[in-house]
Amino acid sequence: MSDRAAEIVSGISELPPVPHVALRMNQLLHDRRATARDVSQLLASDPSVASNVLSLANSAFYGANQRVGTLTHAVLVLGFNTVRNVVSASSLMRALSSYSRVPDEEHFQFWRHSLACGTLSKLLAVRIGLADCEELFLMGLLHDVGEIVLRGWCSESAAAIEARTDDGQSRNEAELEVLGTTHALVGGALMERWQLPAGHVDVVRNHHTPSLARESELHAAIVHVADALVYALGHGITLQAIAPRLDREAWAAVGIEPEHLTDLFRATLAGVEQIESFLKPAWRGSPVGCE
Amino acid sequence: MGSDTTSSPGGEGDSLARDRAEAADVFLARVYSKRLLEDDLIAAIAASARVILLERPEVVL
Repeated sequence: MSDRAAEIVSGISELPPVPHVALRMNQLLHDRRATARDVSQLLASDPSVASNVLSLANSAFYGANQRVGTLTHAVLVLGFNTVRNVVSASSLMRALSSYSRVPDEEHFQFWRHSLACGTLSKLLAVRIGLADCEELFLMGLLHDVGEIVLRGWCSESAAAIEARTDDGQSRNEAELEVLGTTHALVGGALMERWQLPAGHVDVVRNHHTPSLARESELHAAIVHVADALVYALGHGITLQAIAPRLDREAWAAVGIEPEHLTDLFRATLAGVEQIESFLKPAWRGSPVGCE
Repeated sequence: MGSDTTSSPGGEGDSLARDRAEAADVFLARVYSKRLLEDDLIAAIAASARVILLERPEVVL
């Protein structure tokens, strides 16, 4: 199944390459001698990414309590890991948007779903007390990148998959039957091509099968639960989509008390509103209701 | 799912609230499917989401 996913991804020549700024940022953050100034100089080479980092450093979502006016200050306020994730998030989503073959309205809905899942994944990680909650934001944001590949390049299979899900089959099972792989595995293959960390790839591959995650079952469980929950807020992968099945072991691992759900939902929508304008990719057209 | 949050019976606000509640219920029944809503956990998720959808009816209307 993974082989089939890799075959699909490697067979598409026009898939987005990993953006230079994201690749270089990863290299820089592995360099122990790198300074905030080095990172800010790299950010300055991409005005769109630089603007996103500055805006986020001043946003309530990142707990801004002082005016951040320079990139170096933004790097110091946010920290290297958060900056790397913001850079990856904004540059990869922008690249995906510019290469996407799905209609703008559909891509916009995908993007809102991704943002909501990333936001809720981070909120759940904070509740659990994980140290790497920023990583969860990126994992949640990218969890469905394989959908864009399948919808754009394997669109002839979409009707057969929809027919099966309408009959009550899970999306994963339907994709396996029709394509021999799943959007989760295709997303993992794309992330490998983008040279993202193995843990991120593992979570994306297993966001519908969290117990199979080899690197971090808890991270996969968090993204799995967040994915299933945001459908209830109108942030499904499409407006008509049915929420994926909720894995009870994953739910138990994440440990949400049902009485806290309403607050979590409110916090998710507030978080999405606070950051969506900063991370919004440029649309090729002007989808209805997107501006 | 939960009960309506309505004001004076028969009024315009009452009708609007009923429409919003119905739209939220229809939406949640589609997203989680009617069969799944019989499950306690899914019903709890839907009930919490319903509160939000009534606060933000633009999502489902």
